[in-house]
Amino acid sequence: MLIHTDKKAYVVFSLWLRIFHWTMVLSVTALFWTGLYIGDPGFAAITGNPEPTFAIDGWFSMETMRRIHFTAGAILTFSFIFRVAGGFYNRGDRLLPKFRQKRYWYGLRETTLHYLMIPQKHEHHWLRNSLARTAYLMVYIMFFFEIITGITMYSMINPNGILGSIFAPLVTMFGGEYKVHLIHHYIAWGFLFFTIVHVYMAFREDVMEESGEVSAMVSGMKYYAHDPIDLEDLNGKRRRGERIEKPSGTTYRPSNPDDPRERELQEDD
Amino acid sequence: MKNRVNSLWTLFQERRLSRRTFMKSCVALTAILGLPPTMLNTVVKAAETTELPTVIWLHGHECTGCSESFIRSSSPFTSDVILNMISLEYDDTLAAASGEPLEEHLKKIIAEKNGKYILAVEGGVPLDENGVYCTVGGRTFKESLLEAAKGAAAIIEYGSCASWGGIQAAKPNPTNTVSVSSVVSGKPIIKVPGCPPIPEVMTGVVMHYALFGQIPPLDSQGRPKQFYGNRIHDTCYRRAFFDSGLFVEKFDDDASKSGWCLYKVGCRGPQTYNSCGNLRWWNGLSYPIQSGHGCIGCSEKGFWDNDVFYKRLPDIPLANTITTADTIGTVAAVGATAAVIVHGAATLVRNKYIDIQEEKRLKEQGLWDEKKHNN
Repeated sequence: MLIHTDKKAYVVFSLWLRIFHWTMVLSVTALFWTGLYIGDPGFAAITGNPEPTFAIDGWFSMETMRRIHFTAGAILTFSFIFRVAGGFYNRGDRLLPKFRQKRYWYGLRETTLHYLMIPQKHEHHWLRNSLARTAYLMVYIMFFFEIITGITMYSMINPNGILGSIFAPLVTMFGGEYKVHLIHHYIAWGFLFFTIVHVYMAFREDVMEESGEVSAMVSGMKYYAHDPIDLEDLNGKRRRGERIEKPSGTTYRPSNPDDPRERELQEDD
Repeated sequence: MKNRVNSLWTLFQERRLSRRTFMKSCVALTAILGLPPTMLNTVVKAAETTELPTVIWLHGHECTGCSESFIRSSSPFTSDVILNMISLEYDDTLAAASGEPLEEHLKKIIAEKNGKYILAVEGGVPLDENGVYCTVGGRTFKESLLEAAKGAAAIIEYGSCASWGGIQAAKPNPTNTVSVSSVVSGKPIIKVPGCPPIPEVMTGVVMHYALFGQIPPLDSQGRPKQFYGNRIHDTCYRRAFFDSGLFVEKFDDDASKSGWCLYKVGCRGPQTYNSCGNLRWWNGLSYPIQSGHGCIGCSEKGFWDNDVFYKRLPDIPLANTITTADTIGTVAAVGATAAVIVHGAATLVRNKYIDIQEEKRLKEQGLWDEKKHNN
C-alpha cells in the first residue's frame, strides 16, 4: 500500500476519464503499428500464399491490418468524443491551459526551469503544470486532426455515402487526398514522441514528487502535502470570503489515530 | 417541317438510319454516360427533342495532349461527336481553317449563339505580366477566355491544366498559372481533370450536356460523379493483391511479373479519383497499372508536386541527404528515448548530489536529526 500519511489525496480524474484514457492508449498503440504497416508494408507475402484468394483467410495480411486499424480507429474516435464530453462535466478532466491567467505564464517559466534542473528542488504544487496543460491541449488538437483525416480517407471509399458527403469537402480543403494521407502520417509520428515524453514525465513525477502520478490514471488520486495552487480548477472559483463546505472533487484520507505510523508523525511535529 | 429541332433523332432520320439503330445507339449512349439502364427512357427522349449544342473549344497554357486523347475516343467515335452530335464551331487545333477567318468566325459564333454554347477549355490561364505567357491570335489567353466565357451556357475544363493549373502551376509556378475556374465565375463549370483525361470521359461529359441540356451531377471538387466517383484503388483489378499484402518491391522482380500490387513502388491509386480502373483506356484495352506502372495520380490537384512518383512518401531534402518522414521519425524517436533516459538519469544523480550536500551542511551545523531526515 502506498503510504502518503503526510499528504492529502485529491481526486483529480473521474472514472469516466480513466476508462477512456486506457482505451485510447490501447487503440493508439494498435493504430500506430498497423498504420506503419499500411503506410509501408515492410514484410510482403508473409502469408506464404502466392494466391491472393487465400490471403483474406490468412492471419496476417493487408486486409487484416486494415481491419484492425479501422476497428481501433472507431474505438479511438468514440473514446476521444466521450473523453472530451466528460471534460464538460468534471473539472478535473479539463485542466486546460488558461492563457489569460498570470499563473499560467509564471508556471510555464517555473516548470521549464525545473526541467532544465536550474532549481533542482521545487515545491510540488500544481494539479497540472502549465507545460503539461499546453502539451495535452496540443495532443487533443492532434487527435482531432488525426481522426478527421482518418475518417475522411475511410469515408471516401463511398464518396456518395453519408460519411462521404460530409467529409468529401475536407479533401478539397486539404488540397487533395494525397495531402490528407501525408497529414495523417506525419501526425501519427507526433503521437510516438508525445508517448515517449508523456510516459517519462509521468514516471519522473511519480519518483521525484511521490505524488502517485502513475497510479493516478488508475485510482484518479494525486497526493499533495498542501493544496495545489491551481486547486480552483478542481473545486471551482472561490469568491472572497466564501467558504466551500464540501469541495466537490477533494477527498481527505481519514487519519486513523491508532495507526502507529500516524502517531509517529504527530510526535515529530 | 415545322418546329424542326436539330436533335440526334433528326440526324439519324437524315441519314436514313432505322429507329432500331437509333434505339441501340441510345442504349450504348446510356452506358457510356455512366447512367443506369433505367435512365434509357430519359436518354431516348432527350435524343429526340434536345437540340445538339454548339461547342467552342479554346486552348490555353497546355500541351494539347487532351485533344490528342479526345480524338482517340472510340465509343462514341470522336468523328461522330464532333461532326454529328455536337457542332464544334471553333477549335484552333482541329479546324481546317486558320488565321483571320477562323478568329472572325469565333467572334461571330460568340455573338450569334450568346448564352447557348458550351465552352470547352483546355489549358491553364497564366496571370503574371498580364498573361503574356500564353497568347492566341495576338491576344492573351485570359482575354479571349473571359470574352468567350461571358456568353457560355456552361464551361467544361478539360484536363488537369484547365482544372487545377497543371504542370505550369507546379512549384514554383513561374507564370502564376491558375485554373479556368479561378478566373471565370458565375457559370456552371465541369472539371474533367486528367493528364490527359480518358477519351470516353471527355466525350461522355460533352454528350451528357448535349443530351440533357444540363451539367452532370458533380462531386465536392466539381468533377462529374459518374466518372470521378471512385478511387482507382477501389476499382483496380490488382486490389486483391493489395488486400492480401502481396506487393511489387522493384520493377524487375518476380512480383512485378506476376502482376502484384504496385502500392510500394509509389502507386497513387489510393489517392486518385478517375475511371481508369473501370473504363480503362483505348476502348478498354489497358491502363497504367495494367501495363505494370503505378498510377501517378494525374487527375489529382497539384499532382506534379506529389513527387517522387515511385515512393509512397515524398522526399524530404536535408543537408547531404534525401530522406522520408519515416526515417526522420525513427531517428527522432530513438533520439527522444535516449534524451529521456539521459534526462532521467541526470535528474536522479543531481537530486542525490543535492541531498548529500544538504545532509553534509546540516551535519556541520549540528541540525541533523537521524530520525526526522533519514526516512
